[in-house]
Amino acid sequence: MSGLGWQALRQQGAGGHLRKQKAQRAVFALSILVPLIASFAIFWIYPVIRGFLGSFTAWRGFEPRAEFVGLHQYARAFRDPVFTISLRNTFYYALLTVPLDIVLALSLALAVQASGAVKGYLRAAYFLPVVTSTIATALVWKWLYQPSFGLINQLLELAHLPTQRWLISTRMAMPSIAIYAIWKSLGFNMVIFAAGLTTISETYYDAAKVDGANHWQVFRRVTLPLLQPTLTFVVITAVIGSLQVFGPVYVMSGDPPGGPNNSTMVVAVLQWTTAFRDLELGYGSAMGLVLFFIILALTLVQLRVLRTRWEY
Amino acid sequence: MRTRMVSRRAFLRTSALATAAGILAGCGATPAPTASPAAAETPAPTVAPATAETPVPTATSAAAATPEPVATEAPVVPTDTPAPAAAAGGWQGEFDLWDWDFGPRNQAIETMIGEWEETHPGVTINYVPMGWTDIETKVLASASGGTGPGCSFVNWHWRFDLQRGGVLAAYPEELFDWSDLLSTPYLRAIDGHIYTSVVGHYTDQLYYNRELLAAEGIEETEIPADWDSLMAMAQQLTKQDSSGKITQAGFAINDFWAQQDIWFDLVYQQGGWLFTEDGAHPLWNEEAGVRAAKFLQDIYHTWKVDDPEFLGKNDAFGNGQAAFTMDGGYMGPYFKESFPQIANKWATAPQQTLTGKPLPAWGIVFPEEWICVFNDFPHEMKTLEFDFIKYTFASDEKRLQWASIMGAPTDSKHLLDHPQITGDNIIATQAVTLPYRVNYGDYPWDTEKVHRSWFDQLILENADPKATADAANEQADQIMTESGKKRYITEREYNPPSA
Repeated sequence: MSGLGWQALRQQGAGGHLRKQKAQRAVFALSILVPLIASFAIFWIYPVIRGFLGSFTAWRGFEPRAEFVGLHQYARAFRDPVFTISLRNTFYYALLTVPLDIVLALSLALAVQASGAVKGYLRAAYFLPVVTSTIATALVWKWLYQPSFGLINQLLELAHLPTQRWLISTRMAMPSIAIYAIWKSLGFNMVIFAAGLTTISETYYDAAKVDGANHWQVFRRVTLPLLQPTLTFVVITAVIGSLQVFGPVYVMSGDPPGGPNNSTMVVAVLQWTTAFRDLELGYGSAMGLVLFFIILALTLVQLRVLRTRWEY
Repeated sequence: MRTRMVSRRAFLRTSALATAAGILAGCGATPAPTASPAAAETPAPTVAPATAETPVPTATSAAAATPEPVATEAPVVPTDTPAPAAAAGGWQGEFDLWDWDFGPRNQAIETMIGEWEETHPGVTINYVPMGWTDIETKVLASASGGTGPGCSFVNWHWRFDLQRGGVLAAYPEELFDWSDLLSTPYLRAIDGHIYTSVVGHYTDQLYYNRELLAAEGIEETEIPADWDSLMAMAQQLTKQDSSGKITQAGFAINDFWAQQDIWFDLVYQQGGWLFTEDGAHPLWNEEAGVRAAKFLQDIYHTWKVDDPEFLGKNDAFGNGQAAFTMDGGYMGPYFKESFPQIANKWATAPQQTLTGKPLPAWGIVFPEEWICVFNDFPHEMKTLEFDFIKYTFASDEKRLQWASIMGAPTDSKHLLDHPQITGDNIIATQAVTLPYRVNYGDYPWDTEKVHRSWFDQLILENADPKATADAANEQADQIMTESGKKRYITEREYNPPSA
C-alpha cells in the first residue's frame, strides 16, 4: 500500500478514534447531567409549575377537581388583612436584617483580614453559628429572650437598664428575631466578603498609599469598588433569604406562629399554615407566587443598580 | 504518560451499579416510620397514660357543686368477645394501620394486633407509628392522592377534612351499640353515618399544686366551684418580688390554646354559641363571647394572677411556680412525664363554672377519636379492618383499659360510674362534667390567627373587649366565607341533662 494510502487509513482511524472519544465524552457528560436535570425538573420545576397553575384554582386537599377561579385567590390574598400584615412584616424583617448584616459582615471581614496570625481562628469562631441548627439555636435564643428569667433581661437588670418584653412585645418581637438572624448569618457573609477581599491585588493599595490616601479613602476608592461583584452577590442573596424567612420566625414566634398580634407573621409562615394546615393549597400557592414575583422584581432591580460600571 | 485515577469507563460502570442498587433498595421493604422532633413547648396532644401513681384525691371540691353520681355496683366485666376465626370471605393479605408515636397506646395496639392475627390466619396488620408532626400531613396527602394506608388513627381535627374529601368508609351500624356511646349524636350529625369511634373524651379541668395551697393554709376541699371565688383564691396565691414582678402565678394561663379553650368554655357556660345555626358564621362578638373575652383580660389586668412576662403555663406549673392552671385531661400524663419535680404534689379538680353549677353547660369536650377506614380498598379488607376496630373495644374491660392508658373518661355511658373511672383523679374530674360538655365539631382553624391576634390585643394591650370582638368577628367571618368550605359544626347537638 502506498504511503498516501496508509496516511488515509491512519487519518480514517484517527478520525474514528476521535469520534469514539467524542461519543464517550458525551455519554460521560450526559450521565452527570441527566440525573441532575431530572431531579431539578421533578423537585423544582414541576412543583413551581404545579403551584403556579394551582394558584388559579380553588385547589384544596382531597377534592378530585380544582375549580378554575382565575385571579380570585390573588384578589383574596390582597383582601386578607393577615396577608397584608405578613407582607409588611416580611419587608420590615428584610429592612432590619439586610443592611445591618452586610455592614457588620464587611466590617468583621476587614477586621479579621487585618488580624494576622489568628485570622483562621476568628473566621472559624464567627462561622460557627452558621453551621449550627436553626431550630436548636432559635429555641435557645427564645429562652434568652424570656422576659422574667431570660439571660438578656437579667444582664440588663444588672446594668440598671430597662428590661424588655422581647418576643411578647408587639413592638420588639420582630427586632428580637432579626437580632438572632443577624447573629446566625453574619459568619457566612463575612466569609464571602473575606474571600472577595483576597482577590484585590496589593498593588492597588500600594498605589493608593503612594498617592497619600488615608484608610477611609482607601476603603471608599479602592476596596469598595473592587469588592462590587462580591457585594452584589451578598446583597442579592441576603435580600432573597430575608424575604423567604421561615425557620426563626416559626420557632420563636410562639404557638400558633405569628407572634403577638401577628407582629412576626411573615409570608412564608402564613403560606405554610394556609397550604398545609388549612389545606387551602390554591390560596397558599397564590401567596407563594406573590412573594416570588416580588423577589424576582427586586432581584432584577438590584442587578441593574449594583452592576459594575468600571474596570481597573 | 499521565495516569488517571479513575477512568471514564470505570466511573460509568460504578455509577450504573450504584443507581441500580439504589433503585432496588428503594423498591424494597416498607420504610421505617419517621420520628419528628417534638416541639419544645407544645406537648403531644395524646400522651403517656395515667398510671397507678396517679394521686387519688381525698375529697374534691366538686362534691359540693356537682350532682352526686348515682351509686352503682361495679359492673360485671364480661370476657372478651372472641374475634371471628375466619377472614372475611376468605380474604388473605395485609393492610396498613398508621398511628402517631404514643408509647403506651402503641404497645397496647401491638399486643392486640398479635392476638387478633392469631384468630385471623393469613391476615397481617402492618402497624406503622410515626411522629406526631408527620402524621397529619402524611395521612391527608396520601389519602388525597389515593396512596394511603387501609386505616389510620385520625385526630378529631383532621377527620373532617377526610370526611369532606369522601375518602372514609362509614362504620357498619352493627359494629357497636351506638346508643351507649356519648359521641354518637355528634358523629352522626353530619350525614347520618359514622366514620370514626371515640376512645375517650378530654375536658378542661383545674390543676392545683397541693403544697402551694397548704403553704397558704388552704385545704383542697376548699377549692371553689365558681370562677369568681377561684380567682379570689388565686390572688391570695400570687406572689411578687420587690419590683412587683410575679414569681408565683396564682392561675397560670400563658398559652394561647388554653386561653382559647377557657374562652370556649365560658361562652357555653353562659348558654351562648360559637356559630350561627348553619355553622357558616361566627358569633364571637355576642354578649357571651365579649364577656368571656373580658374574663381572660381580667386574669391579667384585674385579678393580676398571671403576667404575660411570666413563664408559659406548662413551665410555670411544672416547676412549682403556679398554684393553679387549667387545661385538658391530656396534660395530666404530660406533667407526670415531663415534670417529675412536682410528682405527687398536684391533683385535679373539675373545672369551675360562672355559677358553680353545671348548667347550662360546663364547656367544650375534646373527643379522642380512633381509627378511620379508607374507602378505596377491597370490601373484604375493609370488613377485616372494622373487625379489628371492634376487637379494640370488644369488652368493657378493654374500654376501661383504654381509659387508664389515655387518661380520659370512656365514651361508654354505662361505664362512667365504674370505680376504675371514678377512682382515678385525672379521669374522675373530667368524667363528672362529661354530660354537660359541648362538642363543636369542625372548628374553622383557619380563623385561629385572628383569634390569637384578638387575645393578644386583650391581654398585651388591654384593648376594649367589645371593639376587638367586633373586629375579630368580622375578620373571622370573612375568612370563613372566602374559604367556601362546608363546616360540620355540631355544637347544636348538645342536649343537656335536666337540672
